[in-house]
Amino acid sequence: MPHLLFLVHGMGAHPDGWEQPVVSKLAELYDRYEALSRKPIADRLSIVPIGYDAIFREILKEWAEANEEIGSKADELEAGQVSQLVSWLQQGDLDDFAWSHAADVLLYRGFSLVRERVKVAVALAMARDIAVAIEADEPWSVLAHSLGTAITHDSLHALFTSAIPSADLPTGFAPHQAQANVVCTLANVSRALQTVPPAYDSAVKPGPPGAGGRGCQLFLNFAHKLDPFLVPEPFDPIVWPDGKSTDEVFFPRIPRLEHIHRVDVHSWLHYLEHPRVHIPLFRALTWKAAITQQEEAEALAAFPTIGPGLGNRWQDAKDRLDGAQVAEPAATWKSFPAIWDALEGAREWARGEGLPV
Amino acid sequence: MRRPVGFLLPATVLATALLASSPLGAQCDDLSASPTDAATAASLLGELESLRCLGSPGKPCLDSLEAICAATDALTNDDATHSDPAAAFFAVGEAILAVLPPGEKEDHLRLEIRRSLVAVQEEGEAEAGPARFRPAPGELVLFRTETTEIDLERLLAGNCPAACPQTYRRSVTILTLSALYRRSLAELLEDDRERFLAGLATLDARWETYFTQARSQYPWELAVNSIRFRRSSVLVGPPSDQVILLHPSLALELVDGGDGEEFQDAVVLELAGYHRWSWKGAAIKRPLGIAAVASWRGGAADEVGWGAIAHLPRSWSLGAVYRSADDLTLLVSADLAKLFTNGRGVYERVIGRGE
Repeated sequence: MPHLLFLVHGMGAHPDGWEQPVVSKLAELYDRYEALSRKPIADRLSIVPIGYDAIFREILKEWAEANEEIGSKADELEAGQVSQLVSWLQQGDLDDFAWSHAADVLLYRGFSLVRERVKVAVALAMARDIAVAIEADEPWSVLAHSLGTAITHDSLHALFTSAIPSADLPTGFAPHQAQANVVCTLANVSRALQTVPPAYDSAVKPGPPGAGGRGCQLFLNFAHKLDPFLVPEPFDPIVWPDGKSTDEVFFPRIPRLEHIHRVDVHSWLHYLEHPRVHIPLFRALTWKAAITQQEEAEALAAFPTIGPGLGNRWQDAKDRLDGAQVAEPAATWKSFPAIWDALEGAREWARGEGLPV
Repeated sequence: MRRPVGFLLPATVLATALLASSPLGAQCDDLSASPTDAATAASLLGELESLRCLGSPGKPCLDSLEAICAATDALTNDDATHSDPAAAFFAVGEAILAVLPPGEKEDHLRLEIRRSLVAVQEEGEAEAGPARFRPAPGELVLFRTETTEIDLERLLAGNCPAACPQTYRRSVTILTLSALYRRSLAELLEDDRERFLAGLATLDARWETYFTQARSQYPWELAVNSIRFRRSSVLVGPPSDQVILLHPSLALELVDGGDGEEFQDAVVLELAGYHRWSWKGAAIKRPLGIAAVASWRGGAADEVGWGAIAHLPRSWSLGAVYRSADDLTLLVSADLAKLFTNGRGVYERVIGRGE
């Protein structure tokens, strides 16, 4: 079995097969590098999607159906107070893009019952595969995006620190027993959505191999300057939490990305396409010399800051993205719905203009 | 006398080209390769490590390590049974120490293995830390930043080309023995992992039950019950009770219809109540709840009825409401959200009886 790599998605509807565009993009990028491409990506990486979206969809669907059934019966029986009570559930149109994205964040951060349910489901899904990987002596890593960074953080911390339910027994999944090789986060919102423990205090922090409370050996964190979700309480652990964790070999300081190749700078693909993202990721998941210095230099030279699809409209795109930064750095997760609306405005504009979204 | 550059180049370049241009990339058989420059050796070793050719189950082993590879396979084989797994583990650990050749880097590995063996012996299996023996991601570095750090890329750079093949094999040996010890440690924890996974699966199944078989919750109820539920940094199961608050549902009232008693549709609003149960595995057992209700029946009975309802096992709810017009009427309610999803059959049976 090759290196186990979990993909954890972000906000919004992610039906079965959601991982395909991400896996395809990873394969396309992987094949660009000569040494890597001598073996298919499946020989080197076992990519496993981790989805939690069905939990949110089921809750929203239940509310929508309740509204429909009760609302009509309440109208029929002239139960005005009940009609009024359930009417606001109509706001939650499942097909509405912004609502579905906002609802995920609200459900996860606002309702501890939902959060704990998601954590257990994600931790179980990961732990089952991690156990198999350990049996086969394979390393494991995580690549998470957006809301998935917070869910990965919470679930892994819980997995690393939990005991056997109802007993104080070891689990075999403590950091010194089952440490991840790489935790890679794209558009990390785990600090904005943090509950207990705070993001910087968790057991997901990087450190020496097998050290207590260090959930991974390497933490790669990629942020984009224009990503509006990274304005409120950005994940930027300058003092996290001691010298070891912020040592460059465990937590390389990566400058914020600035490229604009799509208007949706928050998307998985926009992050992954940048050589500064996928090259260190592939090297950490395989071996350092898998991508030569020359290949890296050529990849960077062939990757302009402004994508060719935008042509001379990049300044307009940047203005729209600047406009989507509606939150202040001191804002909290409650600003996420407004941010999503603003970003969706930029996306709609790009679609209308025929620009890459 | 300076040798012609052209004389020097072919050996290094040829070896590099041969190793680097294989259309299949590195193979596990390359354990016995003889690279002649540091870059090629490091790249080959890095790829072999990434392909788990060094000490992983079912992979080729250096001739000099065949016996210890076989012993580790025997320890970690799922089909194998050991009367004393801990003793078998210590035997493998000691065997690894015995075959570890002399050398400064090897001494670092020896020290780490000894420390680990002592920790397991004195503190128990929970102290087994296989993760410590895994190289840094993508790198040829063991015990990174520790005083025992082993940087094999640097070792190769310092010994190639003069002693490159020997240093390459020395590096293969260090990484292989580290992997074999890592596997032995991981084996010690297998029972813990299985026990934990079973417990976690039960928690997951309970949560599934909580959201699909316990009473449905509207957003405001989910908010109240979330506030009551403790915030936790570890993995926990769902609660065994719920507060009911302003919970609308469909119900049936048993009324005198002139030709005898009949069920009539009603909309019920549970104003406030409490519902509790106990868990048996992932199943809800002995559910019991009570709530104060307001009921609308429409038609001639436009007056709101006031009463109470009890929630009983098997998703049945039974109550009574009072109106000045018809005194007490019996109220039979099924949880609305469940009626129109997985509980529709219950509702239809109730309707059927009323007709």
